[in-house]
Amino acid sequence: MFLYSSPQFVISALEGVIALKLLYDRGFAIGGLGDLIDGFAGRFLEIMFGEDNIAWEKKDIDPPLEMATLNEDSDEYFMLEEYLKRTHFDLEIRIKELGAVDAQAKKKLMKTLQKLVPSEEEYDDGVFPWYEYFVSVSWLKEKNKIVGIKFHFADNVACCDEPPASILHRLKILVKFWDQLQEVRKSA
Amino acid sequence: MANLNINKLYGDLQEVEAYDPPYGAELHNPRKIMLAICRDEFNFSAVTIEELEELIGIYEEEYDPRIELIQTDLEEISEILKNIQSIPPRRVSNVFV
Repeated sequence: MFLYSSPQFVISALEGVIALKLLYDRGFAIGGLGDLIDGFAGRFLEIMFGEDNIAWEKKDIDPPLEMATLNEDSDEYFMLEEYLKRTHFDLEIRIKELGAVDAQAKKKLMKTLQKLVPSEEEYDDGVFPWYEYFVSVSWLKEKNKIVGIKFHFADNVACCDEPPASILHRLKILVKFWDQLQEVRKSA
Repeated sequence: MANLNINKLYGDLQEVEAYDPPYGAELHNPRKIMLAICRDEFNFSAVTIEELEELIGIYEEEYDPRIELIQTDLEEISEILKNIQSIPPRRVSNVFV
């Protein structure tokens, strides 16, 4: 129950409230707060893009070849193991409004979306950081036409009485993407 | 629950909004926000992002005594509300819940 949660879980839930508030301020129908303790990113995406436009498909990640050469007691081996243990998804989001956006505007939108993905310099000893979620982003295409966006999403679950890593700063980037998309639509 | 004093509980509930907790005025707003969340009465139009971030700032100071003050206050309110909500419906027709 929210009231008796640790400060870390309260913070995580409050970040969920902020995420929903960002959507509310943009005219989305939010309904109630819902269960924020169990995570809110999935709900955030459903509200922003519409439940029917989102597809999550679990994917298997093969261990990199180099893992066989690593010392099993090493930090790098441990971090790779942790990365592989995460639940990985192909996340596809259909956005029909993209059909009317010109190439130049699409470039700008993709530049914003790329900020969701940490650069390799931000990797931890060559491993995707445990506190990040978006491994890669690209346009979702059908018959060579851009119909949405596609992510490799690595879920980050709560562990050891702590909530999952914060995702709010990444959701704010999605809000920025959505704001830019609305601007482009208005000027089209 | 036969011994519940409904009038007292009704009085307790009326006091919730007017309650003047024993901490500084700067915590009244964070307390109101937390109360709204706990009571599932959150109004998105009544809160700003800055106020929510301020509340996060309080909880980030993990051993901040302000957290305990707010939490104790909310737990007491939660007990009052739990007792009121346990009253059979026919006895609460005149009580705001």
